[in-house]
Amino acid sequence: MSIFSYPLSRVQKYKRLLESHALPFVPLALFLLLPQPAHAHAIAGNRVFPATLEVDDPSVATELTLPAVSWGRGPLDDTGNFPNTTNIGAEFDLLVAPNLAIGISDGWNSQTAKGERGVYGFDSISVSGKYLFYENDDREILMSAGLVVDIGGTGASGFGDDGTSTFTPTLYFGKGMGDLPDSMALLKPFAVTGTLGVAIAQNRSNPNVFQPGFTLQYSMPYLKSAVKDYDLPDFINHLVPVVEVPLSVGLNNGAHTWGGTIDPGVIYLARTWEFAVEATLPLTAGDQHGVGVAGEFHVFLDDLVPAFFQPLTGGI
Amino acid sequence: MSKTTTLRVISHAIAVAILFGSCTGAVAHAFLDNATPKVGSVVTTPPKTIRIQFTQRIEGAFSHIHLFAAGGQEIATGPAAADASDQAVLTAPITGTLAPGHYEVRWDVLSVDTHHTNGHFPFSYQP
Repeated sequence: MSIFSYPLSRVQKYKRLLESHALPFVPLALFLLLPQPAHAHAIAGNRVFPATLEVDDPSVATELTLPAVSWGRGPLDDTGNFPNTTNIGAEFDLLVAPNLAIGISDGWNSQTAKGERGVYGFDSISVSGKYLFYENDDREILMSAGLVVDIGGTGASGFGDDGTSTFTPTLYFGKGMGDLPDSMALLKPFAVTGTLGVAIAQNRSNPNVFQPGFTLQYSMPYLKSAVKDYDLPDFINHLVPVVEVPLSVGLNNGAHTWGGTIDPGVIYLARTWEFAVEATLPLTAGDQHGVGVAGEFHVFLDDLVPAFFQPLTGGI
Repeated sequence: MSKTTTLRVISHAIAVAILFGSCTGAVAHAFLDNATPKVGSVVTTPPKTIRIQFTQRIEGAFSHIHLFAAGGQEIATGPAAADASDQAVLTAPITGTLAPGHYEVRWDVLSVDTHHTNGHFPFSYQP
């Protein structure tokens, strides 16, 4: 086969593959090409919802979290230790239509304890799709729906990957308090976000898990730009104090115990990036021993390199 | 799955993502940085213009400023225009008469990267 005929044969092969598999995706492609008025990012009028560490925000955007780092001491193990557990992760999300984003994430774990052999390994790879279906700028409301799939067999068995997948349909919401009356002006920078998801295990011996999560945040950027500019230092005007509460409870197979953490922290929100750090406080002794810490660096790629990232379809 | 295979899967995914994202265009956002009258301020003389500094350059021809009294009636303003020396600044003259009271400035702008944002802020006039 000549140097010219080989690429041509590849093209023919890919063309045949496309023709045989493309038909089911035609309705989806037509849907994505429809004009869609809402804009990307977690913005509703004056309100910008920052990316949070544990409870995913309703944003659909092209963004990168790298790295997300957490450390804590696990619950008491069989040998009487509280093992040190560290996770270093990353997530990439891509806006493929004005209201639709897809994402992929993974993390690497380390679990060590005095006198024990360390355990190391990757999480299962997670892929996700999220669609922003409601935006109200005056009421500062965003609502999205999505599906997160933890792909079985892509992670380490020592960190929960038994070779089967988990499917988590999730509802995401955000609500700013900017529509409060002017007599409560200093409460307007408050916002709540949350998720309601059910992790459905492919392996029926594993329990399905209800995963609600909530955040309460106070936006200093909002205070300055929409309520009252107090001439505070610029650094202060970029801060968003936040409390996250990720929760979970088993729905079947006898796993009906609530678990989770309460995570107070602060986010520094710049125009194209943000940095967040939080303490993690366990709700029960089965979740974690003592106080842990989590942090992440997050880049809004569509703002940082706007000429490179834009939705594949539709208007902006 | 081995670590090598996992990394290979991730690298393929990122490569595909970059391929999907490598189109020209832009979706950056312009946010209010500061304004005159200052956000939430009480002014003692009626302002002649509204001036808003944004966090990035905007397209003046597709950007607007409107002024409303507390009762909701709109106060007349001239056309908004980007500042010739700083395209991140949008100004609009106030052509109507301001009575003492509370006012709300509503703005909507198109950034030079073609992304639309909007917002509003209050000020008061108390001579």
